[in-house]
Amino acid sequence: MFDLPSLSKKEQLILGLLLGDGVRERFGLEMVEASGGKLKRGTIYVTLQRMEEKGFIESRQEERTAPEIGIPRRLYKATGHGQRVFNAYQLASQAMAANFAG
Amino acid sequence: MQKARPFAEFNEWLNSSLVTLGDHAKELQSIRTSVYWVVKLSTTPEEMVQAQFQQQRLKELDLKYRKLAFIIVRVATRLFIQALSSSLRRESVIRKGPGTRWLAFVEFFYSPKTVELTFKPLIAEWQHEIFEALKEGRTRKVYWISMRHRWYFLKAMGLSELLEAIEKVVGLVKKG
Repeated sequence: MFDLPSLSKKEQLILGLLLGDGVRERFGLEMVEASGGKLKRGTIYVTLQRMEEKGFIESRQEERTAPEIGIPRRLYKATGHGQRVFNAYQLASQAMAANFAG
Repeated sequence: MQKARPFAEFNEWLNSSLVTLGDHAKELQSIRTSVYWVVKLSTTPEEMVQAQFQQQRLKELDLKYRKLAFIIVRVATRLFIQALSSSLRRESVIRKGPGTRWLAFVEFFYSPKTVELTFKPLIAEWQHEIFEALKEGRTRKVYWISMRHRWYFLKAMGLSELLEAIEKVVGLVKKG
């Protein structure tokens, strides 16, 4: 039997933010601000790590043009696999909603 | 990075104050000499009254001069302490990045992968926010950011530890 990848609500929200307005990269803090309080700063990186391990997202360190100090921040973007899983979950939830409504 | 010079302002102020004080001292000396001769050469009662009046004025000027010198010493001391503390504060900011100790702490307890993917991005955001606040000159905000991020760091530590424990339990249940 096909083992369906699991996607929690937080993971769905993160994928939604990363895929929302075209495929683009976002910082962790940016996603926290865009989520309107649904994502917390203290927990987002734990979730992001788990998602990266599942293959839903990938990350890279930001490029720096000017000499800056401190640790470079990390940019996240959805992978093709992540996009497919997200779309599948969206379709499943729509179908379920239609079934329950009918 | 250009080094800050907190003592430059203090030096400039002290130099100008000492020049002013020197000018006052010269003026006072010349008045003192003229009063000495007025007192020495006065013969008539009117001249003696005039000499007494000038002596009194000399005393007042002398007192003003001492007061001015005292104020300059007090302000100079205060400015020196301010410049010293400011220079020490700036050095401490340059010397260590925020969250460095926390990173060293988690590097000891957590796997390199967790440090790289969970804790380093958290510290990177922490440092980014602090540097932005420093650029805007909002030093009070820096303390708030640090306090907040310490809390987030603790939360991340607790949660990732809990997740690892759950994973281990799930793995053990699956195995046997």
